[in-house]
Amino acid sequence: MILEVSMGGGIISRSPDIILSRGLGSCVAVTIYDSRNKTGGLSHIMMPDSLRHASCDVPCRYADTAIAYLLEGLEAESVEKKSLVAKIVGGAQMFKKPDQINTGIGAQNIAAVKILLQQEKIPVVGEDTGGCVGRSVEFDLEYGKLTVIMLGGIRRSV
Amino acid sequence: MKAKAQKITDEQLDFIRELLNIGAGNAAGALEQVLQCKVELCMPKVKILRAHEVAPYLTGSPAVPVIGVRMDLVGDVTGALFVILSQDDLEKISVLIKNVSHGEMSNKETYALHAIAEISNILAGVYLTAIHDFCSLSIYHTIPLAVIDMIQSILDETLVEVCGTIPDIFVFVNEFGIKHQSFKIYMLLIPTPGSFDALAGSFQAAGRSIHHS
Repeated sequence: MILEVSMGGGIISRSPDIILSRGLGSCVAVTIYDSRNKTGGLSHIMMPDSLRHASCDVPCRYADTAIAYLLEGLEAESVEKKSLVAKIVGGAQMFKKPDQINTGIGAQNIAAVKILLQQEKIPVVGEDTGGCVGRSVEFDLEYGKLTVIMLGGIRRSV
Repeated sequence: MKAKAQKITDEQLDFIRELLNIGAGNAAGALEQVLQCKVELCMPKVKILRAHEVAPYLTGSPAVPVIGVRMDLVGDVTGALFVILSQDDLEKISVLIKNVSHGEMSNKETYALHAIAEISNILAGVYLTAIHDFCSLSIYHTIPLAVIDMIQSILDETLVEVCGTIPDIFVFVNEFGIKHQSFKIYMLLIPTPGSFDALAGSFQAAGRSIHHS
């Protein structure tokens, strides 16, 4: 089954499902995967942290709530935390002048996700982040393969 | 605790329509100079949308490629102004530009993007001047930056900043007729949370003063 995650959403599933998320700009898609159980989750994160913000109508709007959501969901599927690996895609700055350093929400999202994964001791085994390009992702739960799709149908595995 | 910003009323909406009608006449004249041909501009429409409704309204799907031009707003109102159009319309405009430049183009797409940035400059100038004249708000825009990418990728950084903090996003739909072809150009006015009330309040006050005069 093909499952689609929209902005601020998150899905946990297992093989043979494929999880999609389309149109990432500054948003970041994080996948966490357990190859033993062929189980994983993907969240489409919009902002770096929930501390400065009030209540939230979607579970994965913020990096901290999104990582917690994925880990709780995977725990419920009886995966072992020590066998989990993560991949990160997105965090672009779409309207960047050539000489400008990426300091926007995209860069903050990437930094926040990396710190949270490090705190949880989950290694990042694949990454396609930054730049000024939009991305869609396809997460195949059979092998944990994450494919990045860009404009013009350009595909890249991470 | 600060009161939650009010949604745009029908009265404010009527005033915005009048404002757009005034701006549209000037926009057509300015575009004729750039494209060197007759430009017919239909009555612009205004839509008021929530942040999560914008991409579905414009293209129906988050991954549809579009041309997006972004300008920052500075002055009495801060925020972002986007101009969005389809790839089909970019293609049509690049043909018109080719006629203007007598075929001397090294890179058709880059040239067309420059033209779209220029058209965005004109539209932004015209509408911001109309807002200035009727609402006494001085709003300036920065230099336009144009990209081609997926609609949601282009807008997400701006939309996540305002999502849940401002109630409405203003979408102006401009339809042009040039040489028996039609073009649709969307303009998105996305004020920052602090500027939304100032803008909505000015629309309200200006609308009332027009109707009472």
